[in-house]
Amino acid sequence: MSDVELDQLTKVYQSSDESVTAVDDLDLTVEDGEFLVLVGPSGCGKSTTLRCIAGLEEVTEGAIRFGDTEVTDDRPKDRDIAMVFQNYALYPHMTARQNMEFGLKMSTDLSKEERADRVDDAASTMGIEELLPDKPKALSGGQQQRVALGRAIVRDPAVFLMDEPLSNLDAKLRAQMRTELQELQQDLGVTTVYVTHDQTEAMTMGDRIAILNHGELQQVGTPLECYHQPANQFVAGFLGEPTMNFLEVGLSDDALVHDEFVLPISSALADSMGSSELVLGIRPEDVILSTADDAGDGAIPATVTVVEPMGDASNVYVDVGTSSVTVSVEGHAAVNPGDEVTLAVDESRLHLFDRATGESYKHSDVEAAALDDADGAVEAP
Amino acid sequence: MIPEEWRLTQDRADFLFDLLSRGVLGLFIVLALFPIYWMVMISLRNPEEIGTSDPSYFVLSLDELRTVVFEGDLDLLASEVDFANYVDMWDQIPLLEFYVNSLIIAGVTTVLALAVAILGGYAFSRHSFPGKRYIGGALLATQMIPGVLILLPMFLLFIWIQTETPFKVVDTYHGIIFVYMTFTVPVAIWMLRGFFDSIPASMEEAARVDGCTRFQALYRVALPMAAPGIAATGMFVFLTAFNEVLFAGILAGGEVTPFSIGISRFQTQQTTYWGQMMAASSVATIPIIILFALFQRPIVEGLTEGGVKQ
Repeated sequence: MSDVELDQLTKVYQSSDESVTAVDDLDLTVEDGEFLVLVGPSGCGKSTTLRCIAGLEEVTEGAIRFGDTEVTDDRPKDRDIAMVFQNYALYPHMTARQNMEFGLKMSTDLSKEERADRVDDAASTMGIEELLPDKPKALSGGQQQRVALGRAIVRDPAVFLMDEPLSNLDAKLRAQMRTELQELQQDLGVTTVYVTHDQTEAMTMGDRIAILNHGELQQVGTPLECYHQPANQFVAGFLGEPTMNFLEVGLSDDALVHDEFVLPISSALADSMGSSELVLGIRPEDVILSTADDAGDGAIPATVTVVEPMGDASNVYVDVGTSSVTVSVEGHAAVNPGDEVTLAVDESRLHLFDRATGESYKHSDVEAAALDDADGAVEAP
Repeated sequence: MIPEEWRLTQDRADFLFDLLSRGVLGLFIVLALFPIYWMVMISLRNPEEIGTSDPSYFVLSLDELRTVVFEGDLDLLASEVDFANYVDMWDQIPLLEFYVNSLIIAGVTTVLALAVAILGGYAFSRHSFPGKRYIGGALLATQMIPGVLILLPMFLLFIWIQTETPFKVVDTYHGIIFVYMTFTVPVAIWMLRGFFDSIPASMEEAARVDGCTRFQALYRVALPMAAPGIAATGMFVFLTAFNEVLFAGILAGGEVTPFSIGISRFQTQQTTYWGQMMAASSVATIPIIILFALFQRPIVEGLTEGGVKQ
C-alpha cells in the first residue's frame, strides 16, 4: 500500500512536425487506500496520466512517487502495480488460471503451490473458480472482465490502475460490476486510480474525482463537492445528467439581465462578482417549472418543446428565447409541447461563472453543511 | 414475354452464380492438380511404356479398372502399376544426399530467416525509429527486382569472396543459405510485421505490468499469439528455399547439390529416366505435404480470437 504523488507531471508527444501536450503540469496526490477517479472527455489526458503512472509512457517532465519512493523512471515491472485494461488484455494462449498466475510467476519467487493457492483465493474472491481451466475465448465478456480483475488482485499490488475497465460491458452488467468493484476496492483497501469518461462511474465510484480537460487538472474533490461546488464552467457542465443549463447574462443593478428576462439577485451576491459578463448555471433539478400565468418578479417565460418521461421523473425541454433549457420534474410532467410556462430559480441554487475564463464566482449553496464534513477540500488549479 | 417458369428469380440467380463460381474454381483445381497427377502416374509406369508415342493418361483403362474393382483381380493391378522406379532411383544418382542437402538448406534458412524477421517485423510493428518508412520501403523494393537480374552480380560477388578472402562460399551450405536469406528475410519481415500489428499493444503492456521485460513480453506473449503467422511465414521461407533452382544451379551445383538441381541428373546423354525422375519428384513433395498437414490448423484457427474485446 502506498499513496501516489504526481508532481508537475507533463507528457508531450513529439512527432517530426508537431508536439502535443497530453498532460500539462499535473499535481495530484492519491491518498493511501483511496479510490481516485480520473475523468474527462476523450483526449483530456486521463489515460496518458494513468499510463505514466504505470510506466508505459515516458514522462517528459515532473516526477511520480509511490510513498517515499520515486518511480518516475522505473520500468513497469519494478513498480508493484497491477493494471486492468479496457480490452482486458487476457493472454489468449493461456487458461484463466495461467493468466492469473503469470504475474506471480514473473515477479515473485513463490513456489508453484503457493502461486496456486493465491490464484485460488483470488478466484474465490471474484467468484470465478469454475472458469479457471478455460481459455479466454471460451468466456463471456463479463467473465473475461472478472478474470482480468482476478489477475490484478492476485498480485496484491501497492496500486491498482484501471483504464476504463467497464466500458466494454453492456449497461446492466456495467452497473452491477460498478458496485462489485467498489466493494472489492473497499475490502482490499488498495490505492486505486481509475480512468473513465463516464461521469456516472466517476460520481458513484470515486472517493474523490479529478476532472481533466486538455491535459490540465480542472478540479479534484469528492464527487458531491465537484457536483455542487464546481471550480469552473467546464466541471459544472461535465458532471450531472442531464447537464447543467447555461445562459449568458449581464450584471446590472443587482439583477441578472438576459434578453428574455431580468432576474433580481441580492446586492451582496452582486457585489461579489468579478465581472459583469457572466454565465448563469442552473441544474435541471433546481429549475422550478410552473404553468401558472403569474409572471412575477424574476419569472422566466418559456415554451415547452419536448417532454421525456423517464418513469420516476421527466425531463422537460423548454426554449427561453433562442436558448434551450432542461428542467427535471419529479414524476409525470403535466405539460405538453407548445405550452407556455414560467421558470423560477432559487438564488441559493444558482451558479455564476465568468464568461471569458469560465471561473466560478458563485456555486450552489446546497448541502454546504454536509460537504464541510466530507474529506478533502475543493482545490482549484 | 418470358414464360413464368423461365423467369430469373433470386433463387435461380443464386443457383446459377453458385454453379458458375464452382465451375471456374473446378477448372483451376484441375489445371493445378493435373501436373501432379501426371507426375505420380508416370512414376508408377513401367519404364518401357513411358517412352511410347501414345502414352495412356491412366494407369488402368476403364475396362481394367472394372476388372480390378469388381473381380478383385489384383494381379492385373500389379502388372500395370510398377514401383520399380521408386526403388531404382536411389541407385541411379545419389538422390538421398541431394534430398538431405535440400532439407538442411531449407531448414536452416527457415530458422535463421525467422529469427531475423521476427525481431525485424516486431521492430517495424512496435517501434518508431529514424528512417523507418524508407527502410521498410527499401525492403519491399528488393522484391521488385527479378532474381535473374541479380544472379550475375551475386555470382561475381561469390567468386570474389572465394578468391580474394579466406572464406569459402561457392558450393557451400552457408553460401547458398545466405543467398536464400537475402530473398526471404524482407518478405518475412513484412509478413510478420502484419501479424504483430494485429496483436493489440495492450497485451504486451499487460505482460510488462505483470513483471516482464520488453523482451520477455515479446517471447512470452507476442510470439505465442503470432504463432499462426510465424508458421505461415516459415512455410513460405521453407518452400522458397526448397523449390529454388536458379541460384542453386550456379552457386551450389557441386558438393552440396540440392534436390531441385540434382534431379536433373536423371537426364543423361543416352537417355532420360522419366519414371525415376517423376518418382523422385513425388517423394520430394512429401515434406511439403507434412508441413501443410502440421501447420494448416493453427494458421486457419487464428489463435488470437477471444483474448481481447474491442
